[in-house]
Amino acid sequence: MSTEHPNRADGLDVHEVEDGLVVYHAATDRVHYLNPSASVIFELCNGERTNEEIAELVGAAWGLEASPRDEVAECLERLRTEGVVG
Amino acid sequence: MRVNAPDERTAAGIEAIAPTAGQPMKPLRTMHYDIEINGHGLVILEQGDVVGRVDGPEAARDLVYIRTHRRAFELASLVGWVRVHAALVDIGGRRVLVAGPSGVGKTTLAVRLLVDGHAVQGDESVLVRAGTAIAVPRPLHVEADGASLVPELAPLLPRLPRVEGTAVLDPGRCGFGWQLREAPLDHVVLLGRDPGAPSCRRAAQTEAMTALVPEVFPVTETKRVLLGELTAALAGVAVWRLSVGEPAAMRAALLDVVER
Repeated sequence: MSTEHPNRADGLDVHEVEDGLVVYHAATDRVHYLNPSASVIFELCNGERTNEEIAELVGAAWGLEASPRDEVAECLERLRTEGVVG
Repeated sequence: MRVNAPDERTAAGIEAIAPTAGQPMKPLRTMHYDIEINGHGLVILEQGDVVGRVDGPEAARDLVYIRTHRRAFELASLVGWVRVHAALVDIGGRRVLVAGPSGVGKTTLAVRLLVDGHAVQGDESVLVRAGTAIAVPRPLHVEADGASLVPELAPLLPRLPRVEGTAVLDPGRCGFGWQLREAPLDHVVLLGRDPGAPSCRRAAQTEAMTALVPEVFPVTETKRVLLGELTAALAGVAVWRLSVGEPAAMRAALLDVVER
């Protein structure tokens, strides 16, 4: 999977709580706790959107003047490092 | 449970630690224990199987106590309950789960609230399933310094029975009443050793999950089931972080947010 079109990893068990997501990755037996921003970014990863498109959608959702490109890229990198996004 | 003991002393020792909690659920099973004299010691049988050989009534009491709780956890797990290491207290009709690592002060806070007349359900294990919670009816285990933290305990402490050297306080036997109920949680309080005087600050539900997952003791359930039950238990719940300190100050900080 291209890192420019991030997608959620297979085999994730996602639980929604009031202020984020709890993601269980059975393959690694690890639990990840995503805050609201990370949760939105994670949900937007569908294998079709680019990093840039995700950043624009996040910016629109939060009513930001400029696209939060760097922040989204940093978050995606962490999600990739943790193995929940490929 | 049913216990056949070989003498009055052994029977009385076990009777003294049997929880008196009233509870709304039908028993899943009645456990049968037979205690038999064997040479200079005692042999303990659970459902006919030998589970231990001990040297006297106190050790027999401790073993039966441990075995019954362990078996209860297994049976509860088989019918879908997830066990969380936490205390559970009903304050003015609001259900409060108090969580934190061992030794942080859950029991001290629970005893403080019990003495003040709040409906302490348990100080050690809480079962959650389908968005509801019920405490495991284990008497409160009070450490030797309990009376220095909660002075009202001083006259009680010497009279309490002991299990493995720790005083066990059954609220029902001590005149506080002990009626369990199954109900959804309203508040989750995470105890932490934060600097400063005890205070409650609002915390995120993801913070509660981070704190609670390591405090769950899976028996037969998968982590997927465990996380699902915890998520359901947290639905609509207010999460707080309470810094540990002098028990009366902790109580005041807690009541301030729960009764607000």
